[in-house]
Formats: sequence, structure tokens, C-alpha cells
Amino acid sequence: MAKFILKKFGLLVFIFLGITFLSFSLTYLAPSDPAEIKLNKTGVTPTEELLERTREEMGLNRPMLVQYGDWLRGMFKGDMGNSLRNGKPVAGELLKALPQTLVLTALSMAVVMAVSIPLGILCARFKNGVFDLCVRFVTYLFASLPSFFLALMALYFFSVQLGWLPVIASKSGGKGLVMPVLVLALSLSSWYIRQVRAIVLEELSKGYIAGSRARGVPEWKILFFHVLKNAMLPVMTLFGLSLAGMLGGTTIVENIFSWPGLGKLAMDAISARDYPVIQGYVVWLAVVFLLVNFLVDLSYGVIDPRVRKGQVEKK
Amino acid sequence: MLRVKNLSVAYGKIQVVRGVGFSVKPGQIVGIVGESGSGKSTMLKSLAGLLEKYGQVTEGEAFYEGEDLLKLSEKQFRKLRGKEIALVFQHPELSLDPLWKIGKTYYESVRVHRTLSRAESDSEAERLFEALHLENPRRILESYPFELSGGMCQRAAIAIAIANGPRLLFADEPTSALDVTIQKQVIDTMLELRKQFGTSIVIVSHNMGVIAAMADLVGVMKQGELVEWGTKEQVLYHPKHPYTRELICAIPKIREITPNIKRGMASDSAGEEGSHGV
Repeated sequence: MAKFILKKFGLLVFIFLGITFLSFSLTYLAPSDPAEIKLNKTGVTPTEELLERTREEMGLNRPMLVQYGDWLRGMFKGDMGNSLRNGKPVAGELLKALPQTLVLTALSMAVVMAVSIPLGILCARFKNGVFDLCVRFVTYLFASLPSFFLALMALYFFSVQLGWLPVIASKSGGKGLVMPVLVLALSLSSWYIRQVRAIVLEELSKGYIAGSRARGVPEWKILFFHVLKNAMLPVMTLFGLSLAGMLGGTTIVENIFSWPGLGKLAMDAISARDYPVIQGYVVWLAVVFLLVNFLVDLSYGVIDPRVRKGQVEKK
Repeated sequence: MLRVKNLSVAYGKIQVVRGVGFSVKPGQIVGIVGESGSGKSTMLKSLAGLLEKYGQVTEGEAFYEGEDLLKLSEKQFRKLRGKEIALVFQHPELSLDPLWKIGKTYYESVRVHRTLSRAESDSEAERLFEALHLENPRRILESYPFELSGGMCQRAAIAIAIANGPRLLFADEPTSALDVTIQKQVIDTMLELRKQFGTSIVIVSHNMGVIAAMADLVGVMKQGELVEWGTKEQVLYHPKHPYTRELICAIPKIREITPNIKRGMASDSAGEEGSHGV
């Protein structure tokens, strides 16, 4: 198991370097000039001389690899550079937005799991029954509607018509969270219910189900002790992907509800061509995806003895 | 013990089993042979109440100890399965939960019908495995299905199936997924079962050799009908129905090739022997 973890972890470091290098190259190749942006922000009309000097100050005239190395070194010390927009450290900006995104993600994913696992199992168990058909119709509807449309509809009904919930989420604490969480959970659960249903149906068709029935095991025991555990493997993969995606910030929903999370920060940084912040955001995304995938892999090893022992035997 | 009369099963509008009847006495081994698609597995499933949703028993009776199995509710049937009637399938590694150790599955089977502690279940399992000549019972109990060889897994599956001392065992192609050398071990395990516990066995297979090695009575199924029924000697050595003769002739006879090789005609006659008969 230790070897398994070590191998996975070593791979992570390489992937991380690759991702940051690529994103660094992309910003390097982008046509706009960071020095120019910085000077424009101060209101000075940049002369060619001034531009040269600023580039030198910012270290932009050095070879790209040197710049990447510098940036990487800084990053490991916790210094990701300063924002071009407001001159504040990038790390601080990210850390300020992070808790907002964490709250939104945790609540939404909790709702999604609490709703979709039981409903998905019930649908599979009573396949083609009235309940299954109703749930499938509703989930089909919500899975097809884009989240911005749901968000706008929610805003219209709950804030404008009924006046129950605030339009700007960040200004009103807990109450403000209701709509973003609702919209995120609604779209995602619809998709999840269908996935869980498919996964459980697949499991139900497997031999060990017939095997358990042949031993006289009651249906509810088969469902809860056998199917649930076996279905956990594919569900964990999906869960990991969604979790990582959401931790990167849910750009559309955060923007519509003015929720100051990472998605909104990234969106603002992109529209202002604030390269250090974009770069920092990419690093965060890379870390989150790698970490979550790593944890999902580990959970596979914990749940499935075939994965665990397979790794041990291969050495 | 088990008396099946005029059993018919259909998948939708297609009749898969037509008017099959036979009976099994205590301690008897009944073999049902037939090619794939002859309805033999479906017949076995219907007798265990394990037909898929679209399968339907359309006619017939199956009396087990004076009770018609085909009239039982799902709940009553469930209580019978594993306790009175047990099943073994073709792929043992698929019919056991891949994430559960053999010992845990054994314990679950036992707990469905009796109240026992895990430790009691383990020592009972060890005794049973030993009785059936499975080496190293403790290791088997501690293994996951994928860690056992196919033959060992099937023998463990048989042991799990009879954990509650059922008097009737249905075996659906129990050796067909195994190597020939391993098949022998599984057959021996089932024969041992009958010898020690007096379990009656209904074995369904397309493999004449397996049937010949085990069965007392043999039935031959063709397109859902039982075309021949009798003792092993009658059916295998003096078949009445032309289809039975065809089946017997279709068994590749490896020994008979040898003299032909000497005469230098090996390929010709071996080919004829294998492909068609009568």
C-alpha cells in the first residue's frame, strides 16, 4: 500500500510540473504585454523607454525557462506574485475567495449525494415503475436546462416575485447561499440520479446478485450490502470529477449570484488580463484535480481488494 | 422428493420449456443434458424461483416434499432457497460478491437462515471444507473470490451453497467454465457431498462426460422437451431416441484417433468423428 501511494504521488509531481509549465507558456505566448497592462493601470501613457524599464523590473526580458523557474521557486515559498489589477499578492486573493467556494461546494455536493444516491437506487430497483418514470422525466428536464437559466428563473421567482431571498448572495450570509446551492444541486443531482440509476442497474444484472438470491439473501440486504458497496466504485469516480470541478469555482453560478468565490475571481482576472492571478488559479485547479484524483484512486484501493492486492502483486 | 410434472416455461411468447416431467429421489443424482438453448438452464431456474422478470411458468407442477414450488410466493421461496434447495452456477467468481471474502459470504448465507456468531460460522465452514477435501480451509475463508483458482472457487461456492444443509442441490453447468483436469475435482466434490450428506443433485450440462461421471438418472433435452429419460446405462449405452444417439456420437473420441494415426488417416477420420454423427 505504501509503495502504491508513493508511486501515485511521484506521478503527481510530474503532472503538476507539466500543467504549470504549459499554462506558463500559454501566458508567455499571449499577445498582450503584462508591462503595458501594469502601466496602463497607473494611468501613465507608456513610452517605449518606460515599457523597456518596466519589463526589466518585472523580469520579462529574461528567457522563459528562467522566468518559469523563478515563478516556481516563488510559488513554493508561497509567493505567487502580485495581481496586475490591484497590486495585492495573488496568494492572498486566492485564499480570500477559497472559503466562499468551499462552502458552496461542500453544501452543493452534500445535497447532491443525499438526493441522488437514494433516488438513483430506488429508480433502479423499481425500474420502469411510476416512480422511476416520474423521476426520469424530471431529471431529464433539469439536466437539459442550462444552470444559468435555472439561476435566472430562481432569481425571478424567489427574489423578484416572492421576495424571499436576496438577489446578491454575498451580502446576506446563510440566506444568500440557498439559491446558489439549490441551482447547483438541482442540475448536478439530475445528472447524478441518472448515473446512479444506470450504475445500480448494471450491478443488479451481475452474477453475484443471482448468486445471493440463490442463497436466500433478502432483496433489501442484497441492495444495501452488496449493490451499494459495488456501486460505490464508479460513483466515487464521478464524485471526484464533480468535486474537483466545483472546487475550481462554479463560474456561471457565482457570477450570476455575485458570490465572491474562485470562479468569479478567475472570470474577473481573465477579463482584466491579470496574468499572475490566472496563473495562480491554474495552479489551484491543477492541485485540486490531482489531489482529488489521488484520493479517488486511494479510495478504490480501500474499497476494492482487487485494486489493492493487484498493486501489491505487481510491485 | 422432487417430482416435476408437465412443466412449461415461456419467455414472452416463446416457449422455452415444454411439458417436462421427471422426479428425483433422496440421494439421487439426476443429470440433464442438451445443447445450449435447449431450455435446461431455464428449467432449473424456474424450479428455484429465479426466473428473470420476463420469464413465466405457463403450466405444470413441481412438488418438493409435498409442496408445489411453482405456487410459492417470492417470500416463501426465499426461505426455501439456501436452506432446502441450493444452487451452484457456471461462473463461481461471478456468482460471489467480488468485494467480500469467502468467509463473509459464507457467514451471510448462514445468517439468512440461522442465528450463529461469526466465529461459529467460521469453524463450521472449516469443518465443511475439510469434509469436502478442500485444502487449507482457513486460507480459503480469508480469500477474496479473485484470489482463488477457478476450480477452488467453484468448490468453495458449492460449500457455501450447502452451508445450511439443503437436501437438494441444483447445479447449472458447474464445470463448464473449468479446465478438464479441474472438472474432475469439482465432480469429486459433488460426489463427496452426496456420499456424506445424502444430498440429491440435479446437474444440468452440455457435457456428456460430466453427466456420465456423476448421474444415476439421465434426461436428454431438445428444444425444450425431455426427449429421453432413464438410468445412465439405458440412456448412454442403449439410447432410444435418435437425438440422444447424435449427442453421444458428437463427443470427440480422442482414443479412437490413435490407430488411425498409425494408418496415416488421422486428419480425415478425426474430422468426421468430431463434426457429425450417427
